[in-house]
Amino acid sequence: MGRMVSCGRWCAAACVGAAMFGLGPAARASKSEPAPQWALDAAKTATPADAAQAAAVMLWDEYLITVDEQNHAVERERSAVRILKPQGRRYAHCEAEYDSDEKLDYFHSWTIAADGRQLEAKDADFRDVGAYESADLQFSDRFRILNPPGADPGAVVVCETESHLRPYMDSEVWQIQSSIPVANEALELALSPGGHFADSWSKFTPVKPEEVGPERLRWELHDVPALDLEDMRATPPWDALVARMEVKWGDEATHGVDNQWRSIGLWMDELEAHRTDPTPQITAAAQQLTAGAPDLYAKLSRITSYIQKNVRYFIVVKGIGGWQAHYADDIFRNRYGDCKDKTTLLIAMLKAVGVKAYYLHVDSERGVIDPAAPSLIGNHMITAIELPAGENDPRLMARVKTAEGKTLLVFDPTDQETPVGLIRAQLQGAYGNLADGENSQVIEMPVLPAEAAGVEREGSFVPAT
Amino acid sequence: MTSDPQAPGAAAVYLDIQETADDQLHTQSYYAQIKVLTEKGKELATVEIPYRGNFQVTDIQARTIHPDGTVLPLEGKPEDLLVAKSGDVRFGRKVFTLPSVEVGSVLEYRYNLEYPDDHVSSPTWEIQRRYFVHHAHYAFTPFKGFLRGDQNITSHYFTNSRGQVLNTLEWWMRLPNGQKLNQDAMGRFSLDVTDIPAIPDEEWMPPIQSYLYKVFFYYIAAANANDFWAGETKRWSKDVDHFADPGKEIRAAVGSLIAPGDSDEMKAQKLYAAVQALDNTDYSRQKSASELKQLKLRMAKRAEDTWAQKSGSSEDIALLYLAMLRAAGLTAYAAKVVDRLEGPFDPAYMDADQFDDTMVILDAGGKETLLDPGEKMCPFEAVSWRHSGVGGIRQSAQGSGFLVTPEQNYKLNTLERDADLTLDGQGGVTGTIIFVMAGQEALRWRQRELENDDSEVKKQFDREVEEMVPNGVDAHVDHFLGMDNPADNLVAMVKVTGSMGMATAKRIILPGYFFETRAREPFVHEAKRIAPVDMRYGEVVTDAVKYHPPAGLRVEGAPQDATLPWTGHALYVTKSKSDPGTLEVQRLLARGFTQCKPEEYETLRSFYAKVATDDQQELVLREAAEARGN
Repeated sequence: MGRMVSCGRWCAAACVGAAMFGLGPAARASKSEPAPQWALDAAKTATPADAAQAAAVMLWDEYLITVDEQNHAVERERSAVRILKPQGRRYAHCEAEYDSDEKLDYFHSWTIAADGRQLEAKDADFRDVGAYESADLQFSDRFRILNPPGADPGAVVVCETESHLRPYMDSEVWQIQSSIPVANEALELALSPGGHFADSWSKFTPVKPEEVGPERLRWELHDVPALDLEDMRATPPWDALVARMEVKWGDEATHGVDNQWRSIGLWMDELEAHRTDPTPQITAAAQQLTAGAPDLYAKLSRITSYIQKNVRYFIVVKGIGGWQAHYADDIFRNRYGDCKDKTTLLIAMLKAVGVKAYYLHVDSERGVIDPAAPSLIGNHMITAIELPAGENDPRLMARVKTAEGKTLLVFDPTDQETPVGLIRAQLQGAYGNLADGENSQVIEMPVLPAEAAGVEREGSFVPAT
Repeated sequence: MTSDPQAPGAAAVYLDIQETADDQLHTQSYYAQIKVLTEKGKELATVEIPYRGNFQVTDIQARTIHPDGTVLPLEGKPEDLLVAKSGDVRFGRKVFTLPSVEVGSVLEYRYNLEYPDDHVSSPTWEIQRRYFVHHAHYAFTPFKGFLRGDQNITSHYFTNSRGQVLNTLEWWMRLPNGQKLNQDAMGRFSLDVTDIPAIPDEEWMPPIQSYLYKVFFYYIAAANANDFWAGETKRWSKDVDHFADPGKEIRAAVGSLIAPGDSDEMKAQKLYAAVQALDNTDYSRQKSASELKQLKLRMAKRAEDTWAQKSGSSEDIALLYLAMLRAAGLTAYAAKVVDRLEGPFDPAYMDADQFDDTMVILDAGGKETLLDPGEKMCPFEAVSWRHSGVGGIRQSAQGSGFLVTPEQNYKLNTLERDADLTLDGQGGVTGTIIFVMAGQEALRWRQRELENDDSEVKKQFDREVEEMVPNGVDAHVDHFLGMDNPADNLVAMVKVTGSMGMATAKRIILPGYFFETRAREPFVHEAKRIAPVDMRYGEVVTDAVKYHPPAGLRVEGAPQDATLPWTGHALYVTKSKSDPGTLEVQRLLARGFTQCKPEEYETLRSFYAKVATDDQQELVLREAAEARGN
């Protein structure tokens, strides 16, 4: 749940080659245990009529998040998937993500066949693979993946996992919708005494939780349809349409949409504190680049172009590094980094020449960030450059005004092809969270006029004789 | 320097590579020096070093050298990431990226791989790389027992996983002309190569590994190649005979499946049908060891286990079939071949892991017939293209030996597309297309059906048909015929609607060949060729499109009849026929070859260029009244 800011889509272990099955640290011992009662009850759930044509159906998916006094959380998930068709087997391959910050306590699974026979997943039915997107976007995250025994049409595969969530995160995204129908699902939040929470919903009518105990709240949903975009043309991205809820606890659990966005912006600012401080070397480089620049556009163009061309994309995402950038000095010296790093260096260089700029947390695809649902969801970081009052250079088109009346120029330093003044199509009309201290807020990025982009093709031909 | 005359257009080049392996010291060392020529070449700044669990990657050093001579060393520790873990075996990779890389930079890095003293790890030299290599030096010092000289006499020895003593060092190589592997007096190896071209990336190549420059070293438990293969094939044959020994359960099953009066061929066909009906777990789901244990089943060790469980892998099913044939009193042998997708068989490379799949040879009626029972839905006497024209090992009356399987007969792989389309005056179209598939195309779809349900297969078929029909035309499968019967043709009935023509005031202009408007003939855009061509299997594709134009329109222009032969290789024939109320356009493209050498490329390309040109013709319908006036 939740996605790191690593500047691109990263997929699960399906991207990784070796298919091996074997022992893992939290795997089942060889003695067989029968499936627990919750699993047997879930397996008895009838397939909803409107799910009968699906490849598989999620009969049950329940999260229990237990938060302690330090706002550290443990999450238990219990799920049950019934395979309806041969191609539905892939939905039964449960997986659990873990790394040094997100410890996996256990991962158990059983298959309950259509005739009621039970098969327990043993050590050899699990494999551990490293997450991998590309040579330049790598992760220390790992996935424990199950190859369930008895996974045939009619069988129900149940999985139970427990993980310690990252200690520096006070929120969790509950993805309500799936690419298969969901019959029953729930999120239960157990807070410590005096704890408080906030929730925000995207693409789904908010549901009030039931108080099932002291500081214990439970949201339950039924018959959530699948989101199936296969074979549909020109759709928004899946992540922009899928229903989700985010629950927050601790300091993040403020009320009101504006307050929540502010809280997220403040968290980002705190995380990146001093990372954008320009060193003498950075200052000298920025001043050298902008020496003699006739106007603001030229100044911005030289610095942004420098970063686009000279800072290569590379990152190994580890723990908090998914959200926290490196120091500007390291990025400048090494001349590589991810989107957060490029934004960090850009802010530092602009600072060195008297231009203020901010982190603007976005997603690489339009529609994923929902202004009505404050969240850390979003896999990309770009820059918002503050323009002085009265700056009207027509080349600086990608402008947006904040609630306080500041004019900001939106720019993506990771995009090597789009010069300052413009932003690429996928960002236009999308939303981003501006990290500007107490003025942190969600903003909508501009839609540029049609003449700002396009292709002209001219050809001349002489018929062959 | 941002370009290299020896590698025009290259994003980077290797200036130098040094790889040394020492089985005395149980270490391998690597060094590379790279020149970045373009922005794309910067990707070489990220280095991934794979290793398996009992290896250690040590002494990583790296630096970037700018064109002005500034040196920036790698600082910080490389990351150690997991690739995959299974039981006690772990595969990882060390990753680092070089700092401050720019176009024109030289990148340098080196590292060592160390492994336990009780292991040997003979090297593989991958000489050909993604980018041009100016110079590379390789060196290998084998374990002392394989070196000459009294100082290398040792009582130590190594064994393989079967407990056999590794007593011979062999090597296999493919090198450019003029480059030579050297061995000194003590028995140490070295190789220096220069000007190695980059690995080609072209369409329709054979498996790339099959012809790249490389050298393998390996320790084997045999005196020489003949000895090795004699031992391997004998061992394999013994294992096969053990598995396929027809015990009483098999004999009883065979007795119930065949009739006393059946001919040998009839017996073979009935038994083939019986094993084809079993659950082939290569197409469904393989049960894990723990699942078998919980179900109180066992991993198949004999053919009778496969028969009792009515389920098995492709290999189990092929060997079950062998057992059944023998139980029926027929003479039959096993063969194990490579998969064409993986690469050819090379007996000079002494590794029995080259082989992928088991087949059966029936010796009856004075001839040998190759059968592919492990390939689910493959008709009797047909063979998957992946097992055609490949090498392997086989049993025979004279013992075991090598074989090469025959190439596919292109006439057995056919695709007919018969369309019956009604046009309206604005270029709109409705109608049906009947796809009739035989051979490999039918096999492909039948195997898809094993892994998916009918609705999913229809979706997948629709996606492929969409790429065949003109823009603006919607085509959807209504139903299939013969999906479950491999002996029959596979038929897909497709309904068509949409718009495919351009209507003007007096004319409708249509694509001349309905199925070729979006096709991209191969090779036309590739002027030169480095790698051989492998088109998998020969086939015949025949199209017959019958149009019913609206009343009042007649054919003003139709594709001209054409015959383009490429003698001994391919044939392209088109014909248009106009009758009152209908126009039929026929097209045949028969390709009898599977592979072509680079030397034949010019002729190959010329043939396809002519086909592509001819396919661009149009069909023009015009108002008949106007035409009569003229």
